[in-house]
Amino acid sequence: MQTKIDEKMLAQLAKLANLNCSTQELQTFTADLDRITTYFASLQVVQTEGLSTDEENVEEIAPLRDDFPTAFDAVALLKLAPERIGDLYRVPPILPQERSN
Amino acid sequence: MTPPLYTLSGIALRDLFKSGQISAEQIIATFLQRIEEHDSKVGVFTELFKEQSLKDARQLDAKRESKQPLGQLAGIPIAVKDSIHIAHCATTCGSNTLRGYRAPFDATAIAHLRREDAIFIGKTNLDAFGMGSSTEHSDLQRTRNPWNLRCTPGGSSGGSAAAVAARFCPMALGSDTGGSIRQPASYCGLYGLKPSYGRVSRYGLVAFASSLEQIGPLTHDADDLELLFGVISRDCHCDARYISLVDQNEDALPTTLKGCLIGHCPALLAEVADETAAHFGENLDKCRKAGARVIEVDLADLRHALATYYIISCAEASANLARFDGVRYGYRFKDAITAEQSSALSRSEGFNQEVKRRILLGTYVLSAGFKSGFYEKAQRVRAKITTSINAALAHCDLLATPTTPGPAFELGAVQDPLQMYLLDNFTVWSNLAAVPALSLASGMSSSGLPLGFQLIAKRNNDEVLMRFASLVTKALVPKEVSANFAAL
Repeated sequence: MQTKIDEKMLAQLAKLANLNCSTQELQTFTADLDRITTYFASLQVVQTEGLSTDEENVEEIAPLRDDFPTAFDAVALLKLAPERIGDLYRVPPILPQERSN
Repeated sequence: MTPPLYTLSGIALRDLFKSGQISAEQIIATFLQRIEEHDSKVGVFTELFKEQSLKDARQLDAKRESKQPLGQLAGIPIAVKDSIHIAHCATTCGSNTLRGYRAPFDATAIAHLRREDAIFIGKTNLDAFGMGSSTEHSDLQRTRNPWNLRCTPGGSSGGSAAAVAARFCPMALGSDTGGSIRQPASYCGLYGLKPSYGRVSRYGLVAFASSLEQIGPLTHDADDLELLFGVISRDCHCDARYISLVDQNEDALPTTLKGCLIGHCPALLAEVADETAAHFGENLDKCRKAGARVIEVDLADLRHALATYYIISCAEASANLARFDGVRYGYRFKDAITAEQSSALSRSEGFNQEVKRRILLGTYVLSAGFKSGFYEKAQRVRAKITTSINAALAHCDLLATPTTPGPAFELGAVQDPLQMYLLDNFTVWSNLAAVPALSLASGMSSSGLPLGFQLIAKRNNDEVLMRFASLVTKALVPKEVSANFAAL
């Protein structure tokens, strides 16, 4: 199952994780992840046929409570905003055209 | 001679306050003075509420003066791990990413404590986002073990544990994802409870691994533990997985160790230091002498718990920490041109090496081609481990293990991340199985550092577990731990 992790794969993982890694970090994380995932691969020998996965396990342990609508106090919610413009939450611009406005 | 106030339990302080023998202001001033004198050595607090705690204390004194009803925690100073929101105060999570972030609301646990007249004295240091076992992975400061300042207090709730051990407050809140309350409790000579999953609301706790973590108490004794848990486990309508249970019938709680069946698995002791194994054996003997029956149980599946835990927790962390993109929370890299650059550079500069390592691990085990072999496999092994633990607990009242493979280690002594993960060997499996687990202070090592004894009970039997812990404490007689405290 386990594939050896090299710097090329690590760079791809960093891209997926939305992280920039320095050359030094690429080397360090490649070595670390390769050793740690080799340890993780020890699970492959465990017999698990017929056993359930994530959702079923958690539902059995702590079922989600019923979802029901509640009234929101808009004034109280606006007070929680770190920054506001009138009745709106202010967030940093994320699109280039917004930056130039 | 009257003992100093800072050596008293939370309950003792509350009773002195309620009976009018001392004021809340006296209590807070005493602890603030002790913090002032010693925290520069220990490094507990990321933020100290000096003025606010004195103001709260004076208000509480006025409340008592006017004969209003007082809460169960009236006058007790409590420290809070800095990953739990207190409204309008900083929540750093020990990370540069959240420097300057202020919580807009109270966590449910905090709101419950407020209603019972607890006084918050400060926020405590932690490994960034709870990722670590020594508090060395905090971006803010280094926290030391009050019993030996060269040693780690454990982690990730190391600040909260050190706060109680240093007698900066009698109670603290931590959170436990894979042992982050129990391991520092063990290293610092305290009592620490990881509640059953769902018993304490996670609303207002910054998420690391949502299917594993719980907020829980750290104290000097089982009675304080029970009091604090009773308050923070109250209702929450915001955490969708909170379990509301009817109050535990006092008559159903154990009153003796006679007939108590304690299971232990000798095979688990293979990697434990000789002194820790010997101490654990002595503890079991003392329980036997107090009337408990000790039997061996087969928990062979637990040898896979650590790998299972790290696969699942890293996967959940990689998803949970995706929200820190420089837009909605915390640090934002200012000179990026595109949104993608801004997000990647904000995350890369804000997260430390350990957080990045775990996000990358989580990304790997969830990525196409590896998810089935790692993440889904780990979920199935988790089901198998849960079945094994529940089967053992079907025949026993308690399971017992050492809390950690050895006492606290020196700061900087464990550099290899995998070796650091292996220190969680005894604690992760109760998080996987959602059962309650508790570490109690059971004695001292030859090097003068505390040792812990871990007890585990059936799911949702948290109150039974704490009552047994009180009875086990009497059997172990850890006078050297309970009567003494770290000389700072």
